[in-house]
Amino acid sequence: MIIPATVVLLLTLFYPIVNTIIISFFDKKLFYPSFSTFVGLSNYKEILSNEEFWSAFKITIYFTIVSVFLEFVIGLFTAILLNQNFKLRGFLRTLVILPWAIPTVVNGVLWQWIFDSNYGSLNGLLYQLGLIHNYVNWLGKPFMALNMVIIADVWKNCWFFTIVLLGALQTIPKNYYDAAKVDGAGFWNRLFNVTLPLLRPAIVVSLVLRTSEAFKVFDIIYIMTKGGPANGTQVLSYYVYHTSFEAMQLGKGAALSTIIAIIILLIALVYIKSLMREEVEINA
Amino acid sequence: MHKRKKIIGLYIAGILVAIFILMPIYWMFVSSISPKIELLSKPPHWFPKNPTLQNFKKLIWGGTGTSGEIPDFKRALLNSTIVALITTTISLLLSIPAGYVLSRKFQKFKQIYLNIIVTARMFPEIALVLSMYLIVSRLKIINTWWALIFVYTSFILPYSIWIMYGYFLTIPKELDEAAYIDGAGIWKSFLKVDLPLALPGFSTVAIFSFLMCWDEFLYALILTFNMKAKTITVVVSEFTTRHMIDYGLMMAGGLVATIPPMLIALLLQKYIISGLTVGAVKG
Repeated sequence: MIIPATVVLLLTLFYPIVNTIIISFFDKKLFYPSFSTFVGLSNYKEILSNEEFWSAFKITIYFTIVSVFLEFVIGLFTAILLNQNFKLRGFLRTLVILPWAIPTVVNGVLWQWIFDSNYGSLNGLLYQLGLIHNYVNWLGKPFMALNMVIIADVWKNCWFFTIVLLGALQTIPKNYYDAAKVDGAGFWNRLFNVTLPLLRPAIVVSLVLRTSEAFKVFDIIYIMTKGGPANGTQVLSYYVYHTSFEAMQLGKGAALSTIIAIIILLIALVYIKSLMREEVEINA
Repeated sequence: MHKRKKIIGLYIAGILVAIFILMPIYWMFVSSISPKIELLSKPPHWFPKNPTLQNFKKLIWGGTGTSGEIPDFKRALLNSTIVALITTTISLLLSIPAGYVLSRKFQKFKQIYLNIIVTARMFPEIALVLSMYLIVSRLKIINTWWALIFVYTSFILPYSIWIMYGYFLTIPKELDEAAYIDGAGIWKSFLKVDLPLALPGFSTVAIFSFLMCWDEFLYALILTFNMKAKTITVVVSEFTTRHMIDYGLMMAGGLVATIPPMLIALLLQKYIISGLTVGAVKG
């Protein structure tokens, strides 16, 4: 009964993976597939000594750390908020699913419009509030553009943490908190000594999952900035896309793909380890 | 007094969260129904004075936008729907028996198999897209639904097996054993006993794989090049690549592309939440 699924996985997933690794050892150009020569590790050497690669690497790390951190903090506090007993709770629990449901591409065009330098609503709002005197070109400078893309990403993805952590919070018995309150523990004290330790398994697993997702980021970069300005938002995925399909260097693109895959596999390894260590039941 | 303060604090925080979520969505909606003059005004019109359905009409009946000929939006919706439905069906048919066997028999290789599945689920699409492009070209299915169905299965299937396995684990083995004693084989006990009980898992897999296909962009961008197979995400992205950007039309298109997943998310909330928390919350 497991054979059909295994065969399909071998065909659709493992064959392409092997194919990528093989291509990475060749000098291959798109549209000239017959001219490919074996070049050994030279694609890898070229990439690892290329400044553009290391710049993309650093930008990806920055994007991943900052966006996942912000998403986690917002997600944690909104989860705690939604675990309180007040009337807006049901409404908000439904609301947090909305940004999550918006397709990533649509989220990208939406925020590109909000950040527009001529007619964007962010400029309009800040101007009317008197916080800026001239419209700002939010996506015009490399570092600022990167941070604006992070804002767009956080707005869509922080609710993943809200939903997952809320699910975990609901399994914590109420009397744990009552006991802590009797002992005179304040909000922060309860957060660090009761909530966070008990949420540990859910936190570890959701952090690793989101980290691997953020590391792979492509769609929102392609839509909002195309890696620009001045390569300021060129993350690794976009660099692979550019190398393979714009510069049409398949061999180099494949070598890059393999490097990224290895990094993700390391993250997956951490994930599997944490699943085992936290003894999380794979349970729905 | 203290309690009242807390309640007020909760309401303020709740309202802030609601505003944070709703503002961009509201702006997408307002932009989609604003006439061009109002859209391009400084400062922006937060409430359009002359709302219009012009952009939606253009999407449905075609015509020319500021950025030239409008792509056939209906065809893109059809492409996305068909690709998502067929991929979902294939993944369900394959993952249900696979998940079942993993949860019941196969104990020796189970852990290795599951680790491979989890890794496959996290594998970056960008690392495969080049290879997929070459394979799909060689199979002569580039720019067709089948190209997308082929590649989408590669990331939907591992996810589906993982969730189905989790659901079958929650069904007590004793039920199977009772069926075995009554003389039923593995297929019969699977069909009569376990499958009906795993229905919630079935729904979760169906919903998630549909949503993941609907959302997919990278493969569709590379593997399709005209309206024969272009999906909704590619068409929405193309409003941005021309010289003049027609944001009103873009927001209308974005809104239409968002309606199916949003409706699914709202109506089937229960499954979404259980799908998201799989593997993250202790059972």
